[in-house]
Formats: sequence, C-alpha cells, structure tokens
Amino acid sequence: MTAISHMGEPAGLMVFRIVCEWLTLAALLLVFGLGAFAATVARTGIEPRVLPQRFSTAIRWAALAQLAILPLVLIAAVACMARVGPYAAITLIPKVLHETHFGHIWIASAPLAALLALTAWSPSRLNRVRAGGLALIGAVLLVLWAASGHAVDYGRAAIAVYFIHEAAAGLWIGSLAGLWLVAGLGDRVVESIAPRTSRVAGWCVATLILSGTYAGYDALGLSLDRLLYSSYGRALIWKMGLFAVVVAIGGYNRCRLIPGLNIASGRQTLLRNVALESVLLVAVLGLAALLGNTPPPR
Amino acid sequence: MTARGLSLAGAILLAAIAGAPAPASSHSFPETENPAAGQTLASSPSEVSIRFDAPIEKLFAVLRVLDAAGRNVAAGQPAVGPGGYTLSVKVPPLKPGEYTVKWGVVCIDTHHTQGSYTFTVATHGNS
Repeated sequence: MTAISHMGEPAGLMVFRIVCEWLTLAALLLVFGLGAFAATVARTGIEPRVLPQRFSTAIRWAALAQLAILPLVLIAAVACMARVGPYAAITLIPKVLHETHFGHIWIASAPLAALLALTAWSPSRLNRVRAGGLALIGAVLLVLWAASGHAVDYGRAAIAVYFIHEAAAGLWIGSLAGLWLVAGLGDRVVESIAPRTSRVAGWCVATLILSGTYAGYDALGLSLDRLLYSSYGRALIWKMGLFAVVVAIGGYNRCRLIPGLNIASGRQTLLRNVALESVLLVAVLGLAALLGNTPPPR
Repeated sequence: MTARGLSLAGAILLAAIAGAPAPASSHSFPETENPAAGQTLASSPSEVSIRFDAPIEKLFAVLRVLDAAGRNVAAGQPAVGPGGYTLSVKVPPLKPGEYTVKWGVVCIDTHHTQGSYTFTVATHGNS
C-alpha cells in the first residue's frame, strides 16, 4: 500500500509567500522592462536623458521594492520549507542559506538585487548605458528567479524557457508602463513610441504563448483532465483567461487606436487602455506566483 | 509580428515539444522504493531507500521505518545520495512482521511531498 501527497503548507504561510513573490516579481520585471524600454527608446531618437523624472522615479522605487521584499521572500520560503512560523523560520535561515539550492540562489540574488537598487538610485541622470545596465542586472536576476522555481525540476532547458517567459513579460510590462510614463512629453512622442511599443508587445505576446505552451506541457503533459480538474490546471486557466483579456485590449489598441493617434481622443483612450493593460498584467503576475506555489498534478 | 515569424516560432515550439522527453513531475515523488511497496522479503533488508524523480534537500529529509507497534526502527539519520535523488536509512536486522516506511521531503524547488508504504519481512519459510 502506497500513499503519497503534496504536503500543503498552512494557508496563511502560503498566502504570505505568494504575495511576497508576486510583489518581488512585479517590481523586478518593471525595472527590467523599463530599463530595456529606455535603452530601446534611445535607439529611436529619444535620448533617455530627456525622459520625464517620473520614469526614473518609477525605476528607482521598483528597484528599491524588489530589494526590500527579498528578505521577506527568504523568510516565507524557509517557513514553508520547514513548516514553521515566520519568526521560527528566521533562526533557520543560516542553515537554509548554506545547505539548500534555494539558499544558494538567494545568496547569489541578494548582492545583485542591491546592485540593481544602487544603479537605479545613482544620482546621475538615466542614460543609455545605465538603462542597459539595469536591464542586464534585471535579466540575471530573472535567470536566478527561474532557477529557484518549478523549472529546476525539469532541467536547464526548462529554466531557459521560464527565463524567456519572464523576460517577455517584463518587456511587455516595461513597454506599456514606459509608454504611459513618457506620454507627458507630448503628443508627437506618443505618436512615435506607441507603434513601436505595439510591435514589441506583439513579439512579447507571441513569445509568452510559445514559452507558456512549453511550460504548460512540462507541467501538465497533453492531458486535458489535468488542465481541467487539478488546482494547477484551474489556476493556469484563470491566468490564460486574464492574459487573453489583456491581449484583446492590446489588439484593439493596435488595430483601432494606433492608426488614429493624430486624434486627441484616440491618444487619451490609448493611454487609458495601456494603464488598464499594465494593471491586468500585474494581476497575471499574481496568478503566476500562485502557479509557482501550486504543485502540478501527477 | 508577421505571419511568417509566427509560423516559424510555432514550428520551433512543436519541434521542441516533440523532441522533449515526457514531462517529469514537479516536486519530488518516489520513482522506486527498496524494499518495494507491498513487497514481502525472505530476510531483513540492511537499509531502506527511496529514489525520487527530482532532487531533494537533505536538510528537511525525513525517513522512518515503523514496526507494528509504531516504533521507529531505523538506525541513525537518513542519508541523501549524490545528486540528491536518493534517500536511505540503515536498519538493524528486522524481525518478521509488517513495517511502514514514512517519508517526507522538500524538493529543491522548495515544495513538500510526503508519503508512506508498507513491506513485510516474512517468517522463515513464508516468503
């Protein structure tokens, strides 16, 4: 007789962990995406140094947030691994850092997260090099993030696919948020940046669908039952549903609004939709954090 | 995003999935047990071991061998093999009877699994 089960962590601990990971991932993707956006914008003729102050401010606070929450991510993970409360988990942190895979990843991540925050808070104005540096550090952190989750169970190829998935999400969020943040520079800037943002978003969506399909196959195989009748499958359906809503809004923007950007009302509607897309994408990240803490069915 | 680009990307994905091994399970679950679940042995094993399908963390690994009275008869702490796939514990010569193996592990993805199974050490001439 054999009995096997996933040993679910206490609900409160799990919620704590999911929220910590959600906020960290959202902040990290925002820094990575905005950094990449700034470096890309520079290529199209708008120097990063003319970006509005609120662009740098967004990067700075997001970079600070991912650094500030990182210790909470550690405490939450240790508490879940040891099945103890957060306070008891603190005493276990040294052992976890030295003896576990997650601990080693965290040790590698912490200085990079600090470097990201320091780079973001540098007193010099944001330029192409610094924006690219932020995107690069963010990318390395995303690789480490991918290597600490479910992907590590499936091997290096899966880690690479998960990283590509996260990077595409970051570029999409960064492009949308970037467009919204530079809108104050004037109508002509919006008219020139919006089509480019839309093209980037199109590639990001395609990459997310392809990498997400691969990740879904890793977790569920080709079983429709696993998709429909497991906790993991149902969370994935919610995530795909929300993703589809964002894609639909993006499609509407691309097909209906971007061709008419010379009309003021069109620009306003576009920026409102972009803000809505960004918020919904952050919600998708919450479902991604939930999936990361839900066991795929066997 | 052109139709040609999408087609190419789709073809790459299909090729990747077609060439990929069958999906493994996330978290660590037993692949094989020794003694096997439900097995009846002619003599006492020297150790009990479980091979998992994903690496486990030694720090949180638990493996107990319980006799019919619920006493843990394992000798010492469980050991995790190279690569983190195998969890084993030595046992002293076991008397005939049914034994329950209880295990609990944390996969390197930080998530828990646990389980139990039984095996039997037969009385002489009854294997």
